[in-house]
Amino acid sequence: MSESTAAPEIVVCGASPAALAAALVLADRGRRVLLVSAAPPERILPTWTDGALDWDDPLDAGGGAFGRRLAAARPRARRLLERIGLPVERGEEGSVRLLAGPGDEPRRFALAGADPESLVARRLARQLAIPARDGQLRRMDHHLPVAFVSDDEGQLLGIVLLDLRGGGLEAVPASLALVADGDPFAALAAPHPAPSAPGAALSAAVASGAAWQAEGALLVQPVALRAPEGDRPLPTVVGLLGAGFVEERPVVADAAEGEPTPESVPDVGVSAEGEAPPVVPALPEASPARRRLVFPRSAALAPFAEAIRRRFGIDPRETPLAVTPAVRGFAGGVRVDDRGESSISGLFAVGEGVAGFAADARLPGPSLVASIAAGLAVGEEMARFGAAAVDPADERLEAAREREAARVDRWATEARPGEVARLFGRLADAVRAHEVDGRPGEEPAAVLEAIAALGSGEPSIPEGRRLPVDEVALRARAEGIAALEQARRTVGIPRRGGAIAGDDSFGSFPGGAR
Amino acid sequence: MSRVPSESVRTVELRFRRCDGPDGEARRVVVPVAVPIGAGDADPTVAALLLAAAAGGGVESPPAWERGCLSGRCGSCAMRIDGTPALACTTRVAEGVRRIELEPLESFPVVKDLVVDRSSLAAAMEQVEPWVELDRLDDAAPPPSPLPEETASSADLDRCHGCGLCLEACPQVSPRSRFSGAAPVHAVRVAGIGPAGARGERRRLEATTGERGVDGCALAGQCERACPEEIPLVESIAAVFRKVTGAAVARLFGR
Repeated sequence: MSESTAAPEIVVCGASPAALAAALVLADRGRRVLLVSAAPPERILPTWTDGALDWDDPLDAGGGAFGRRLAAARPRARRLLERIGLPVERGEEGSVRLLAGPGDEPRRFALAGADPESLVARRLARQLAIPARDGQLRRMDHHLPVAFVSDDEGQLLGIVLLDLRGGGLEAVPASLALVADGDPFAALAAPHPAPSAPGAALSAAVASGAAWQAEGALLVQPVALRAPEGDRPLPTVVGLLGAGFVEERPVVADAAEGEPTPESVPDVGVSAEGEAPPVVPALPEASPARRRLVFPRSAALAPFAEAIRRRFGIDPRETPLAVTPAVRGFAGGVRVDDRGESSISGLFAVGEGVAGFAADARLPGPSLVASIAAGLAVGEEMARFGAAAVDPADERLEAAREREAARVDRWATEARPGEVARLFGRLADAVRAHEVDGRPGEEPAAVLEAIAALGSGEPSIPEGRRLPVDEVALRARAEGIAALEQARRTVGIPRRGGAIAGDDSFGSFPGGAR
Repeated sequence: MSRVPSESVRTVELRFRRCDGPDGEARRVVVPVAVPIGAGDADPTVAALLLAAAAGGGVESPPAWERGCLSGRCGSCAMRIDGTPALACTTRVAEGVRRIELEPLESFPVVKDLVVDRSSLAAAMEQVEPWVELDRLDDAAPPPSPLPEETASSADLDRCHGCGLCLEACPQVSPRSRFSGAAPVHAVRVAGIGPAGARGERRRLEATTGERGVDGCALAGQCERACPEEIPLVESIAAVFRKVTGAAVARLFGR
């Protein structure tokens, strides 16, 4: 390893197209970059953005100066795609689509079974090998940020990373970082100083994140749609937007009156009592015929059903779609200013994690071109800043690392197995009942309390037994959600009624009130 | 919270070796998992059993394994299942099976239990430089446009996630050989498509000439059978072999 890569100036977290584009542009501008990702970009989960059709929608870029900057970066994003062999074509209704795809015609990737996001991510990741060879970039795969450390002034000091394969923790000093991944925002909120503590600028990020969470993107309960006849999942996750307005749940196939009867959210992990062997959770793909997409017939949701229909040619209100369960993190979270910087000085954010970016604009996540444009725009912005040197031996970093290590240890040995997944499901249920259907149900706040109390009960794991690291990572997210909710209460941000707000959320994102 | 109703339960034993690293001491471990069998249910996948093992209350920690999409599309959970290299998330456990032997891929060093370090494959991929040479991202010169069919075929073939199953299945890939497997050869084929592929083609072909590259292949065809993305790897190797041969002949005649 050369001297330059040993001391990266800027840490980019995430392996999404936005993160990769940002890393590329930063390295291109001569900055030394450390790219941290939970999955290697080559194996990025092909479930998120929908790049097949990309509307040149002004809403996509959001309002304000930042939105204009993102919009201005779109032609560059298209050029970058062209350069890596994926030309983009303008279609009807302002749509833009990738020309690549099997067959003669430009195809909708989603239905063709190919998957634009992972294709683009793989190509961008390959391009990253060039700055890596030149010592401008170092990759750190299989790591998840679990805490962002800032000083009393709110200046970023570093990031604590969890090794998803070995389980160890490492504190990486950094005064400039970009987060381009929805999940780490859980970590942002995690167990830091009380949100009301003076000087804790992090709390502002937490609070604004909590505000966003309260606005409806409380939880992503993503589902991979399946075409009725298709044998491959549509590479699109629908979720977000009102926390489970589209959700997968096992249904009794031929219930009376033809109405789907939710049986339960799949028990992804059922803890066994005593010595009994564990019970297999509801299986991904185990019984696709018995799972259907439940799409509430609500006027507020009609535009989104319409968007699915337009995009996939399937009306989810009419055609039950088989789904594949997938529990992932949540998006939305941090409010950024019009340069893409969060309320922690030096910490920038882009992509789904940014308040409003995904949820305000489009159904299955931000479009591919919009994501790449955002990565380029924020990367260029960051390249203009000088990174302050952080002493790697700063005791605050080491303290944060130790605190996180203790937390990870607790998650791995004390919390009840399967609990987090069940709570995620309950939360989606509760939010859906309250905020989408308007029917009585469990209070979402009560579930959040339960999440906050995670692991505080009697440990049920025998001594010496540890949960695998990815279970631990799931717990990190759950705690993050709980902390966000607590922060929301502490700073008194009211929960907004109605999950999908079409009113002021577009206008206020993201350069708005801050 | 109710559960999906099931009619009966069978128990499957997951057997693996607890291992903390390449040099760590390995110890055999058995984790029992109960599988509910409902009418019309498909057989559970190995991945589902592994998830269940994590949720269970047994004394033994469940095996560490790398997981991703759980739907057969990211290649994270490649391992040896009863000796056969496969993805855990697409391998179903048939009725009547009472025990499954899980082993990490043999072609890579073990990190922990079933998790391996596949960075050697990533390095072999980088060796052939399958990227597009750009001087600068915002280089004003427009790239030459590929034909639509070139774009389509390159996108269609570009499905490799680097799971490593092609190396694992290959009888030629072993500590005694330098062959780096089908995946890097396939990367050379994909990178060479279209006018952008002409740039750097010569260097890529040189990188895949010799024992490390196409010459190491004995055309066993196991890679193609193992590939979860069903990439036509044999065809790719043949295509690259033709190009490599052509380049060698051209060199012979001093061109």
